[in-house]
Amino acid sequence: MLLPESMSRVLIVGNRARIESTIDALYELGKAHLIDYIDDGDPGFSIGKSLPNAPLASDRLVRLRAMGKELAVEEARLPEPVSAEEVRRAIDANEVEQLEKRVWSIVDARNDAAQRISELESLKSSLQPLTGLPLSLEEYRGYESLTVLAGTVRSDPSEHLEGLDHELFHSDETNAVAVFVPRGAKDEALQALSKAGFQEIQVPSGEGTPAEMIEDIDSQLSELYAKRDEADEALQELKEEKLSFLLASEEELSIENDMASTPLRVATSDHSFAMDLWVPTAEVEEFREQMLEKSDELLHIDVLETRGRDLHEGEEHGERFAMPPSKSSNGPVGKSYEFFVNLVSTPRYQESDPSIMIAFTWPLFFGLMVGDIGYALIFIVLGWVLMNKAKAPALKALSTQAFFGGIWAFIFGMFLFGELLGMHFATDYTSDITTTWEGIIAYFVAGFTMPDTIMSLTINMGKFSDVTTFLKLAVYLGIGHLFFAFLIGFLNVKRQHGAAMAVYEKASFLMVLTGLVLVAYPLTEYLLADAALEGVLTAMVAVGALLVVVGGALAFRVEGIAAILEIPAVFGNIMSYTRLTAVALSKAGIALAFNHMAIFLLYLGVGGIVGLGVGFIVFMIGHILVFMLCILSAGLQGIRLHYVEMMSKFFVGGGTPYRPMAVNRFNTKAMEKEVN
Amino acid sequence: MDAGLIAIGAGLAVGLAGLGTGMSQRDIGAAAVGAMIEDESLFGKGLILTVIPETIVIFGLVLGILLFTTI
Repeated sequence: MLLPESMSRVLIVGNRARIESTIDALYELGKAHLIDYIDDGDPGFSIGKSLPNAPLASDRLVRLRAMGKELAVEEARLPEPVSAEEVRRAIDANEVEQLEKRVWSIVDARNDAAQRISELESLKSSLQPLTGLPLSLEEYRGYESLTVLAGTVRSDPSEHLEGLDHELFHSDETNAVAVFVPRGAKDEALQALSKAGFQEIQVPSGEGTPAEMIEDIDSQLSELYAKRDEADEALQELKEEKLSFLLASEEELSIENDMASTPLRVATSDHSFAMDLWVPTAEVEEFREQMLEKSDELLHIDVLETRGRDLHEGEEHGERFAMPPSKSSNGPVGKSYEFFVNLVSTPRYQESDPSIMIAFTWPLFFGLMVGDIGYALIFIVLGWVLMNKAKAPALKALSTQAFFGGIWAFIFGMFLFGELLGMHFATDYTSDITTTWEGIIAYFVAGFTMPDTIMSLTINMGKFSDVTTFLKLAVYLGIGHLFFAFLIGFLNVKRQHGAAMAVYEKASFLMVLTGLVLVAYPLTEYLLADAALEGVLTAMVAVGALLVVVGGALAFRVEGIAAILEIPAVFGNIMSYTRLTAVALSKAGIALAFNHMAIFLLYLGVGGIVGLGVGFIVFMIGHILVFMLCILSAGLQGIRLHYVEMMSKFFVGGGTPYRPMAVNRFNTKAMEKEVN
Repeated sequence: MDAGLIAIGAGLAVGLAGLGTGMSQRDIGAAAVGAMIEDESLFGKGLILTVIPETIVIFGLVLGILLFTTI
């Protein structure tokens, strides 16, 4: 259950003329993971050539994707898959090329309009200041002895131009100036104008006043905007009309392209080809028979080996065959949790997949941290709905966790803490009875007491009053969790390197862990509970210390000084599980504070309509906040305990995911089988 | 008087531990985000590295709680 599925290596050799039909058969069976051929100078063998239909398929795929980008087509699933045969017929009838022509003609029109718009806008903005001057455009040019400087200024430039032969037009409104100076005095005038912050405008050619020209531009612009919007609309319509074709043909062409380029990963000689494949061992015999049948026994198919989990065995076969792909063997729930393992790394073929263990203990930890049936019910409902609706793996994984976490939260909330939305059903260990459900109901229904049937179900442990018990519970859970983690590590190393190495590397730390626990327990009893250090307790310290020393010595043999440094880290790991208590307390504390406020507002202090309204709002906001904290802190802290504390004890990762050659259709329905 | 001092001690334990965690998470988090920009698949590893110093504040919090229960 924990290990990836066993893999067998298969070699297929055949006549080069049969490579296409072989690839078809392999894709149809969908079981073989192709091992890429690396050209390392084998005499007579080289990398194969893609099939004849590859260039056209990949060309069409490129066109289609470019179009998709222009039309903003996002990857999606069609509500109803399209018949692949129809799509194929349309593609063969050059539908892709025709659609491309339509798309680009609209896109070109839109781009032309957009370019013209930006040109006219910039022209308009340069004309704008000149509208303040009483000059028409013709009057800015065509002089033999005069130079005209037009532009904008920050302040009135007339004082700077004193002593210079000139005629000045200045508009306070638009800060525009036009200065007429003799041809030879241009530089001088420019220098003088620069003191007023002059910035020159190239006066556009044309006739009439600037205002008239702007009017003309505006009418052109509104036409162009309409044209651009029209093109956008046309593109949108085209997208809606052709969406199913776009998605379906992309899928169809991707499949064709993948299949047609497969020979690039295969060794070929002048007359033959050779493929190396990984096939799950359980299916390898069936696979071999089916392939032989499909090829009319014209292929040579050899099952070369069934790979064990010893790492040295892999190394003997060379780099190309060293690491079989990992095909996880988890059930439906474990599968959802694979997402969280893959966030870190893909498990290697030779090591245990932690998904199952995460699926067991993460919801448990989460439930302990939430520990409240109010939030639990929300998590269960939300998780259940999303779990059945979500298609994206991330959302599916998270909702599965919410659902199972919610169930544990309900179990702890009901039977251990007896809590609903931060308040106990009833309590018998504090005088403060106002923030219990019993207290609230009793305020309205005189003499109400929580029925014994409910109270007999729950231990009614107070998170704050029994904090030491809660801390101990967390530490014990941590010890158990770590023990399991080292145990899995032991099995992993035993499989990969043999029993002796497993004892040095992992059994040593199992001893250290046990020893630390044996030493720590009597010491805490002595320090905190005033127990005398004698009898069984002394023996525990002695045995524990011995185990730590022996374990440390064993680990020292293979890991050197690093092993010694690891010993306190194990202690730190155990203590790290106290976060289960800490997170639970912090959330319970916030919920308690809001409940106090809300009850005070509702009836204890303020009361009335105002108290009722505000109290209800405070109650809602408070619990939404705590609920968010549940997701963030309980969820994140829970997975962290797995990532850091647990998985570091056995998980290496870096495996290759199992990707069989297969036709995966989502938006198309498979073609009818061809009759040969 | 004693209760007040214990409460201050508990507050210091949580607060200072929180500061320490924040300082180390600042650097690790920034580096992790940088790495993620380069390669999105590093999210998981980035998350692990970023939450490692959280243990410090948890110890602080546990100590704070233990102190507080002695009042």
